[in-house]
Amino acid sequence: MKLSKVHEESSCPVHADLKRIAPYTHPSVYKHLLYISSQYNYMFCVTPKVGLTTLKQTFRRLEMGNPSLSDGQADVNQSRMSFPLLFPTQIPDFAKFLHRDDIKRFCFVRNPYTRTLSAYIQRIERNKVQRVTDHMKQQLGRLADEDYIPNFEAFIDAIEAQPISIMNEHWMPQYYQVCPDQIPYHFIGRFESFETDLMDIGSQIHPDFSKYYQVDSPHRTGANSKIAKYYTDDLAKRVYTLFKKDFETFGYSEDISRCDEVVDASKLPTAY
Amino acid sequence: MYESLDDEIIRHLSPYILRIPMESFNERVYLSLRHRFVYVDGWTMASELIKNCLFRLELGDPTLAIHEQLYEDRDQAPLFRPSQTVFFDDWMQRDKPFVFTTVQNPYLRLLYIYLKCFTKGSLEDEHIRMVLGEPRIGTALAPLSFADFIQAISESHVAHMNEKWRPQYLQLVMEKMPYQDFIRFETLDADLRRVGARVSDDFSQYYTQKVPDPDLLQQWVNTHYTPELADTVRQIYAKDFECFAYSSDPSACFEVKHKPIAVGGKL
Repeated sequence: MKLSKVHEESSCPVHADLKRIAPYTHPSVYKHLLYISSQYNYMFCVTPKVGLTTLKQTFRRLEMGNPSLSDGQADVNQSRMSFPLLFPTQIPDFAKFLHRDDIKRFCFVRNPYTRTLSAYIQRIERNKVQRVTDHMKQQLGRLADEDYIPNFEAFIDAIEAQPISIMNEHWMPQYYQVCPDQIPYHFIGRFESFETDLMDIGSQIHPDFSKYYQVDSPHRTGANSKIAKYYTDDLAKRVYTLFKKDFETFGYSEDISRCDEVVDASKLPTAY
Repeated sequence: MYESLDDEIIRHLSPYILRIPMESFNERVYLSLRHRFVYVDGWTMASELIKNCLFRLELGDPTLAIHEQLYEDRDQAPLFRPSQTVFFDDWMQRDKPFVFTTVQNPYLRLLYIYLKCFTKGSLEDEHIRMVLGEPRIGTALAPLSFADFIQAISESHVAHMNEKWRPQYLQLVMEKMPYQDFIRFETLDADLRRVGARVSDDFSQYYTQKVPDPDLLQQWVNTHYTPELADTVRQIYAKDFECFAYSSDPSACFEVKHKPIAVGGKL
């Protein structure tokens, strides 16, 4: 018996809404990125490598009203189906819901330089998920080479050749996951000021939010401190070009030496 | 730390399961963290109306249109399955939610299920016939009379019955679920208003009255039931008649002897 198994529903009317919001991601995948609370009226979109586990576990504790809930963290991370927040497919007329004034909508984003490196370290270098590594090795023509682990440059070579629609969500541009042009966010938090931003939005959701907050980072890579080790000037330029949409939309500097800087949201080129 | 997520979910569901499959229980329980209630759906004629109210209440939108598909597709319902909380039993013990369900006279409930499932020639019809699995019914496309349907049920073991016609006493796990109130189909309007008021102060704005005509429904029963069929149904569902205090007379479907009183799952 698989009680935690994810069910697919191709006939779900909300799939059409999801396809419009995130055209590069299949609705059956995209629905797993949106978390909705009917209890406290909020919705957030997660992006891998942007404090995802901390977000999920903090809001799980809040929803269940249990600040000490933490057992089984690794398992719980794997199944969206066993999570006490609604899928968009559980909301009839999701398009209407998306524009309700009483639903607080937020997401978190991260500097693309550090996010890309973190994705590489976790998914490729540490070789945690064999099928992801194999897919990349196949793309690089090295599938038969058992000992081969693509270096960071080869990783960038590979993702440069990938259309957005087949990119793994760990390195797909954040713009195409959080879709700020389609989801009217009230708040876009930053990984660079994660705790402050999370407390900011959390306190608007629940007066005792802080007691549910804990840092959960099983996939922490320390990428911010490893920039100099992995990046050359050329790789930085290529990553900037790859993720230009993220740099511009979310106001991050092209200068890699400023990748830890907190972005002043008031200076963003858009109205987020 | 536990072995696996499924193990943990099962550990938390196990206390509430007796003689029905765990998945059957998990699929029929609708849980609200917002309003701290647990509604167990018992496949009655009141189910759609109750779910319509609860779904809109949960999303805080009285004007929300609920498509028919949502009543049956559990994946699209905006109320949680117990498994979605993982720690269901802990939550039940700690939060002590308001637990309620719906019941209906077995004669009318069974007739409703037959008319709903077996007279449309739908895919659901074929699927359910496969679940019935009685060779005497013949091919999936052959007409299935009400008498054949009752006969097939009488020959199957309750543990293997489809949840649509499994005795309510079992399907609702009466021996374990700590029910605090019941919504009878026969007194739907008054019962739903009472339960709704307990669930939320705003419930009345989510309540839409579409209670069917009792005389018409009683006429259905009178038309479809012979004394022999009524006798068979009385035997299959003896525990339901007794537990929920329904008259064994099929011509008195809307007669209730007394209201069930539930304390800690016992009547």
